[in-house]
Amino acid sequence: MLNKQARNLLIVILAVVGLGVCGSQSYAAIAFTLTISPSSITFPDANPSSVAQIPGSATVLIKVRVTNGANQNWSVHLLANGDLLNSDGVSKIPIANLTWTSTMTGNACAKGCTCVPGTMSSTVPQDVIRGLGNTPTGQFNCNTAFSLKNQWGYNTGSYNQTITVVTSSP
Amino acid sequence: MKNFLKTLMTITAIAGAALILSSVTFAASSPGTLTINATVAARAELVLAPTTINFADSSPTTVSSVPADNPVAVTARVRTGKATAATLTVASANDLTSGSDTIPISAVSWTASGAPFIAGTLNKASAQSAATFGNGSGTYNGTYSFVLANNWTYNTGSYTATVTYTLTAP
Repeated sequence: MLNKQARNLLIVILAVVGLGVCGSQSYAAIAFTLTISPSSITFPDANPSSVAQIPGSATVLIKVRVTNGANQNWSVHLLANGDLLNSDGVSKIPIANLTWTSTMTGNACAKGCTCVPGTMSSTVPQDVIRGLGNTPTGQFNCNTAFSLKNQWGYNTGSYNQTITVVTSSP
Repeated sequence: MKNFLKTLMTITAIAGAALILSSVTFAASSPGTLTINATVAARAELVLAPTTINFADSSPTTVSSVPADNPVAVTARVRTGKATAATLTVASANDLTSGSDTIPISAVSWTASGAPFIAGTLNKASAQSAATFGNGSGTYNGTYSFVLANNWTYNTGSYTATVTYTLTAP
């Protein structure tokens, strides 16, 4: 039915598709499941003369599950959407005054995962977890304790800002 | 046959493109959000050092104004709103007294260095402003230098008075 040229082309197509199927198994995309709890924390008022760093109202538990990670490096990072903004619409607290420490809870990753301390930025994403390969038995957990530098220069009011937590793999 | 080959080539191109796209799919990312809230309340803190000063005896003929033995360093820390200003006043309820003898408290005056602190004269009848703050929060450092107007009419004795500074952050 088909001439020789058509048969050869069909063979090429099948070969390409076959390689593609095999390739897609090798290069399945790394997948993340991220959980943050609680999703909101509060820093109460405190006297800057006696409290240099205000601890957050709760420790934030960041859980990440990585599948199809194989030997890939990955990270969870934080990026603020701006400085802490006062309800007066003008006054700000520099977001760099927000820092955190982070401690692993639960199981470690077979190939290595790390909870990373840092300083918040609204311009450069800051790693809070770094890892390699898949997470252990479901997920990797970091207890993240935020603190806010306390200064007399802050104007009175209620401040707030949102932090975007993003997973990525290069 | 020509159309058939054209169709095969098109399918090949589409399949190839799809495979390429699937192989370069980056990591699936699942962003989360963390909300940060902070409260800053009004407060004020005033530090004076030393808290006692002395005026030595001297001849009114040669020393018309007796300087205090030490300047008084002043630090005012205030937290207030973006559009409100702190106030600092000094009140003296009584004259300088030595038994039944008195020296009018208005004989004591001061000069100031460091903004927003200002010079003035003590007044028994009404509290005197000791600084002119701008709007908003901050920490301010300065110095008060006191003098006592010297007069031949003062009876001998050791005179004392207490004055009260009040820093208010609205």
